[in-house]
Amino acid sequence: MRTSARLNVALLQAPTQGVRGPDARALARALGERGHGATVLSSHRGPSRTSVEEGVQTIYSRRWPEAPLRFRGFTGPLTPIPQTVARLLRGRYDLAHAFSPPDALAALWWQRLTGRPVVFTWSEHVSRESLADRRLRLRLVEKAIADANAVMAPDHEAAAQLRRWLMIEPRVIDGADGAAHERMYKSLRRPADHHPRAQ
Amino acid sequence: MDERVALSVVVASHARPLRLRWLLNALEDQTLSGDRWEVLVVHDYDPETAARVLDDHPLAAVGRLRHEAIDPGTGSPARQRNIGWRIARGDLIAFTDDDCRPSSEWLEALLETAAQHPGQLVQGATYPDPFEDAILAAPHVRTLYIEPPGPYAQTCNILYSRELLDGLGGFDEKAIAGEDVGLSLGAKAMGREIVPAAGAIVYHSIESHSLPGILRQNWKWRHLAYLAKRHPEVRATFPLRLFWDRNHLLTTEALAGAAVAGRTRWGLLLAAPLLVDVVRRRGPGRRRKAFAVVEAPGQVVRQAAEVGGLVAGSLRHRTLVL
Repeated sequence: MRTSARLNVALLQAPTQGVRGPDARALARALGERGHGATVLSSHRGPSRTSVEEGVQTIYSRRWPEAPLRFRGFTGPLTPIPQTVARLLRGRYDLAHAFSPPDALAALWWQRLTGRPVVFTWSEHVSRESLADRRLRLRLVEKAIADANAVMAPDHEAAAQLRRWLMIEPRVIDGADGAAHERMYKSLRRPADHHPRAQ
Repeated sequence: MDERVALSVVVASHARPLRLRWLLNALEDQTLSGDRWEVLVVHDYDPETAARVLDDHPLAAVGRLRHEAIDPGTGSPARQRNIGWRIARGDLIAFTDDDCRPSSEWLEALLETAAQHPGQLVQGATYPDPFEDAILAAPHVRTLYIEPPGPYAQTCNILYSRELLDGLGGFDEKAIAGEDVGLSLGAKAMGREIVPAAGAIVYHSIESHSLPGILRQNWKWRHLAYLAKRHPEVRATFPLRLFWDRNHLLTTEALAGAAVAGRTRWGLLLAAPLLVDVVRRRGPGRRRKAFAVVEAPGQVVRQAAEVGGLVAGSLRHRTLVL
């Protein structure tokens, strides 16, 4: 199925994320089937590289050892963030879709520089235990939900938890539904209408 | 809404809507029967924030949560708590703070102890929130650890009877810091005691700050001089009846040593106890000690700023506390 306007979407998914939410590669394939470009931006311990995995272009930024940061109580991964922002700037993306708070921070820096929209899907298990469990964690969470143009939950249970703990009303799109994501991305031309706090 | 309840929880809230929500969620899980207690929040949030945090909360839907808004910038913990307990429907008033998370048995344990010791102050334990334990690795953190009965009766976890609050006239609204300590000292002067409540646990948030951030945060403690002036008996808990705590004693000693170091190098020896203390603060282990050494300058600046703040407070309130 071909859509009228082709979107070039960056899907930011740190390797440890996505336990609950849609798999970024599955979403990239679904978007590809609808005629859009989608690239997965991730990170790993090795040097930066680009590869095609399961039919999806995947760009890995280098993740430096985070043990010293973890020892000092910081959330993570934080070290790939500057390189991820650089990759986003180089990629001429129409939109960035982040799946974790550190990914969202990278996307929001890019949003500040380019003015383009950012979608944040909370793909982790939401619980009080994990909301402020490490340094910078709560600040990243608050920034992601306050500044992203749209906040999404992968299912209704996650949405209920986000309502309970973060007082937001996220949109729910199950799994890697390409059509639903496409509609949502295109609706972000009027971003203020879709922020959970605006509802 | 005019029905009496056994116990009212009073919370003063300012600039912490998310933490307040988490507190309300923790109160929702209390084991004490819902018809026996209520929660009153006195805050300075705008109507939209209040609707989102408070009106939309399930406790409000069942009539157990009420809130009172005051004009932004007009509040203080003392004023807000006084507003709260005066409109509360309970004969017992439990205070906690908007950056705390009570355990599910909190109210039940407080109520049980209050029934065994009518008219006394009931204090539960306050511990740094284990959910936020990792943040203790930060160089500058703010949290509380209180094993009851403590000398200061902080409002993060304390219960008073309405009759006692009436007799004391509530919190001293002129006090900018230490108003909770002042209230408990007034109660002690009336012959009341602080009774510990086993199992009434509150977990306090652990917040990390930058050095400028913690200096700003601690600047308010200069007003502890007002507390010492109003309640001189609080000095009984001070080292040498002059220093707020041992750290301030060591810091003052180190500053005095630094001041005379130009005349005699022996003066620097006076700084040794503080430096030893600062290097040992992370506990044993080479790695921990290394971090403590790296953090030492920031810790010294922080302690010196606290003492400097108290000097300013002492001048303002005309009584010496360091």
